Amino acid sequence: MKKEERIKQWFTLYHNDIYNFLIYYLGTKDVEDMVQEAFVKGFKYIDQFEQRADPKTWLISIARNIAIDHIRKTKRQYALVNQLKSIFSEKSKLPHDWVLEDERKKELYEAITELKASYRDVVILRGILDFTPEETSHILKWKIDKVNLTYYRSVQSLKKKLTSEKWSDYIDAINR
Amino acid sequence: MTRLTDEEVIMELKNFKSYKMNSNQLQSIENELNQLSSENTSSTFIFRFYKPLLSMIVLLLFLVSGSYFAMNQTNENTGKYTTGSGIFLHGDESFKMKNSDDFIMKRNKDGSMFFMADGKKVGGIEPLTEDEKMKSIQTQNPFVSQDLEGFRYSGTYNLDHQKTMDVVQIHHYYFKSPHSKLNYHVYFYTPFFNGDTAAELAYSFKIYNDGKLLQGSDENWKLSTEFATPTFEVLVGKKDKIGIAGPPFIAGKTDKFLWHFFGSHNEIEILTRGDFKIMATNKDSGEHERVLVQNSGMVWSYKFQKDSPLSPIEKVGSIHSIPVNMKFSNSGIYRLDTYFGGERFDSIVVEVK
Repeated sequence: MKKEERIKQWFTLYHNDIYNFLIYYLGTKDVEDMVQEAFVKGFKYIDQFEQRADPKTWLISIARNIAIDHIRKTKRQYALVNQLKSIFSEKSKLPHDWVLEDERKKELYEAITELKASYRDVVILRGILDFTPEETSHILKWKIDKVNLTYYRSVQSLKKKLTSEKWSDYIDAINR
Repeated sequence: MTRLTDEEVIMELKNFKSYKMNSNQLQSIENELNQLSSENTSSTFIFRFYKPLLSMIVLLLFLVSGSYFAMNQTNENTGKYTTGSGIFLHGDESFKMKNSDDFIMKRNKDGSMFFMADGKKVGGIEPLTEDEKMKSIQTQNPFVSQDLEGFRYSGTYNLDHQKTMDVVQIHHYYFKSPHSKLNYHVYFYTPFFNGDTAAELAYSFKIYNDGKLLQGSDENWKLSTEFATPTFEVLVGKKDKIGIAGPPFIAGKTDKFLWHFFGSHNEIEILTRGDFKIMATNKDSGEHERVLVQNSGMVWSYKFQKDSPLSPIEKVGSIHSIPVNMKFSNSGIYRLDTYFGGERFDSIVVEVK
């Protein structure tokens, strides 16, 4: 199959995976440009793609690199603005251009963004996007053991953070 | 306060909403991908390898310029010495001069040599390039400057007035090496040396190449031709300049010869200077020899008073003629240089059987 046909096929198959990954990784819905960039890069470097590997995890790892670059750039650009903002409002860590359906999810997501980078990676991939440990290990270039252990620890860390009233009520409701 | 279990947290994580791109967004990206496909196929190779290619080119550039530099350096070692001492020290020439008890010859590291007497420098020898020779001459106050004649090597003689505390004049001899571009500057300070002692030492200056004596230019060693006088007498020498009459030259045998000198005012001026000297040079050995015989002994010269009357032989057409007894120690080619009162007249080259 020709390269261009292959990349188009991959786009049809995996565009939503890339889209969701970028949304949760960056906390914004304004990620279409980066989805496109991920597929353009994928096309450029398609010769380096190993046939045996899973194109989905390969594309996600490309998207993740793009997202990391993007964070680095915006950090540089908005470092001063953010500093000024944080003086006035302590809360505004979450971008406001997207709204999660309920308060609990919003709080959980906020807890995830507060995790350290490796925990956040694995929570988004294994948890939110529901990738298998094998897929996650391909994307992060980690061993499967490390994926599992890090995921376990990040869940413990999340549990500690989720102690507010809302969650207590919710838990009571479930348990009752 | 109760906490969530691991399973509950994981369940909550999995319940996050899954988003879908709308058809507009999908369409725009698909269009973008379609465009890329057609234009980027050929350039992918170059694009992927341009960084390593670039670094290869830079490395090659360094390598080439580095080796070029190194080659230049080594070339300089063999052929690019610009100073006379550099050429001399890295060349295959050496020089020798007659030893004397009056002074010692001290060799210097740069290839030059000083003549020392009583702890003072009284002269020396230094190898020079043509440029250095010119510079050296420019620093002098030349009293006399002439081309060397009758010496083994061609070159220049300068008499230089210095008028310093210790030195009155300097006799400069510049001998041109027939082998290399070097000029050997041999110089003598007066009053330690005088013109004669300086000249005698300068005559003995020899250049060797790989231990082999370098002959001067072959022109100095062209056998003199025979020519006839109005009396049909046959002379050997140069017509209207100098000639010698007598039996064939045979080694070890003393014979009578008659020297004839031709010319006019300029020649008369030299001929009247005094003592008649013959310096015979053997071509093979390069040695200067005495050939004049007086009272059964070998002498350099016959005594003549300055401005004593000339004795022309009108039949032959000479302005001055001197009968002599001569003997050659060896067979071979000899050059006979004639001098009157230290001033060179001319020379002939003969073969001794």
